[in-house]
Amino acid sequence: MTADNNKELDTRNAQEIRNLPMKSDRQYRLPATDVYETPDAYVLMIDIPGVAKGDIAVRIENGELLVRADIAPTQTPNAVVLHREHVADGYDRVFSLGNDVDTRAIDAQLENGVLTIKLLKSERIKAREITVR
Amino acid sequence: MMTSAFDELLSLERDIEDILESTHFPVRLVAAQRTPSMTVADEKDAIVATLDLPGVKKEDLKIEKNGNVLIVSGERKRATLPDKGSWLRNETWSGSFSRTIEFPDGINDNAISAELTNGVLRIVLPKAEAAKPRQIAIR
Repeated sequence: MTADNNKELDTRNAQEIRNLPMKSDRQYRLPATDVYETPDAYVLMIDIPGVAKGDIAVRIENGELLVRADIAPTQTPNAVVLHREHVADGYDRVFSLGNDVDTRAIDAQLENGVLTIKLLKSERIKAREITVR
Repeated sequence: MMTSAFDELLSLERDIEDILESTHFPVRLVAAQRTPSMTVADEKDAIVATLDLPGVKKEDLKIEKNGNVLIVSGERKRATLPDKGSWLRNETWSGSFSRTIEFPDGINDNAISAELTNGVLRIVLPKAEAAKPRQIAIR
């Protein structure tokens, strides 16, 4: 993800997320995401309210970051819903990564319904290697 | 529970969004959703309202009760950018928000409780004994 190809950090419909555990008949939505860049890293902040830590799958595959998160049911089976705005059972999204991401160094953290994923840039590691004389 | 015309409009907007998402166009009509999604259910012993409030801290949240109306309001603060950082994408909402929940009579006012877990606020409005469904024994 260089300055020229920030567009690469793009997303598409994640229906085809491969090999992630998927429960049938569940509706997934694209989660709203903020992304910032620092000299060392890309940081993604993904809104996934209602998801517990154990129900998140994050993986990197073929230069893509795949995120899927399942929302735990909030109503008991006998509840009568009076007003419903929650329609999704979970969130999923695919982010295309540029080749400057070190896919071995990924850190993910969940706080207040926001999943923060830090992707370190590999250039930094390369730079370090070059300094060996 | 009252559904205002504005809520209906938001719901329509979300429906359109869902249709767009189901195609292969990664389009979002409203990335920033300043009105938190809310669902209200009757759980027999209580009325339970759940609101999506990702990124909102407990101390930035306020719940007021006025008669049969609860007002949930607060602020979502945008994450601070570190030195030499720059935004590539801003889709989440930030700023102040407010939602009103009108509930029926027969709520035990003193027992209303609220809990914020994983970015979801869950408000439990327990029914007063007299308002709970009861089975009448037949003699």
